[in-house]
Amino acid sequence: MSVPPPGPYRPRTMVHPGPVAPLRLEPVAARGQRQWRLVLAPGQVLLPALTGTLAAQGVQAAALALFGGELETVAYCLPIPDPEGQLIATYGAPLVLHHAALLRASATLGQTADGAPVIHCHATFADAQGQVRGGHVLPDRTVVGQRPITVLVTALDGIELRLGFDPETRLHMLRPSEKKSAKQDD
Amino acid sequence: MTEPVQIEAGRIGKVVYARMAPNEDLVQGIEKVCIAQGLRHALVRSGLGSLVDACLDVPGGTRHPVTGPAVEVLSLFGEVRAQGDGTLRADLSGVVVDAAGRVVSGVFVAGANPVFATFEVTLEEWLPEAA
Repeated sequence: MSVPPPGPYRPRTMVHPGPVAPLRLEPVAARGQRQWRLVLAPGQVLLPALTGTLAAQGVQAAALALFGGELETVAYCLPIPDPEGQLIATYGAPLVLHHAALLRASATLGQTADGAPVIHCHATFADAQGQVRGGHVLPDRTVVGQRPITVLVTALDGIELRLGFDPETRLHMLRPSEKKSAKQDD
Repeated sequence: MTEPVQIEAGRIGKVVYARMAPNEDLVQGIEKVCIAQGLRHALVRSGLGSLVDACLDVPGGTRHPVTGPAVEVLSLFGEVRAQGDGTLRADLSGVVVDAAGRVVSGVFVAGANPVFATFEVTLEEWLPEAA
């Protein structure tokens, strides 16, 4: 991590290793306004609990807000400079915290190239001393604790969110596109 | 003189999801997403992603830089409002974390929060009832 020079703050522009994609902003409007409120019971693992429930509703893309409750285990990563120098930054080794109080998580449901559901999730939570921590959450390793967690789900019907390799940053990320057929949401 | 409480009846219109690419400014990028989608007013439903560095205004007039790359945005709150002069203005606050795990909150300074790898935002259009 570099130390910023003295003087007025000047934002930095980052040059990534790959070819620059021409499209910089990719907004897509969803169809409809389907929403749900979920409550995740103690012991539920975030990834299968969320993806299984939403798949049963025919949801392939969604924006999620999670709050309240406790996390028996939360596994999360922080963004560190890439030790191998292939990327500018990457995620460090997962940190694992037990008995955390969830403050707020924001998540996106999308799909891998072969159609499996994926969740991109960032969260803040308090540890046993009340200190606020947070990071990029690994939802397959994060488990609901003694108090249930509430989730608000907004379906992004009509939007396809695919996880794919981004040549510019050499990272995998979710990219939106308009779904061709309306029938896929039924 | 400002009214003690302003009230505006309205409803939610369309929901817009956007992905923002590296070096787009978080605040002005969200304003541009609204312009592209024809939203005059919008509420942030959720937002997550990474910034090169973050720059946050905190109470007392202090500007707080958080050095990356990268800095993760953990939560995003706020709204976009059409202004009297025809421009759009996003007022966004949130919580970020750096490589050392330091968590910092504040108001995102427009023009000073470039996206690192990707940023995902979901907006709800706010449609005020005609006055």
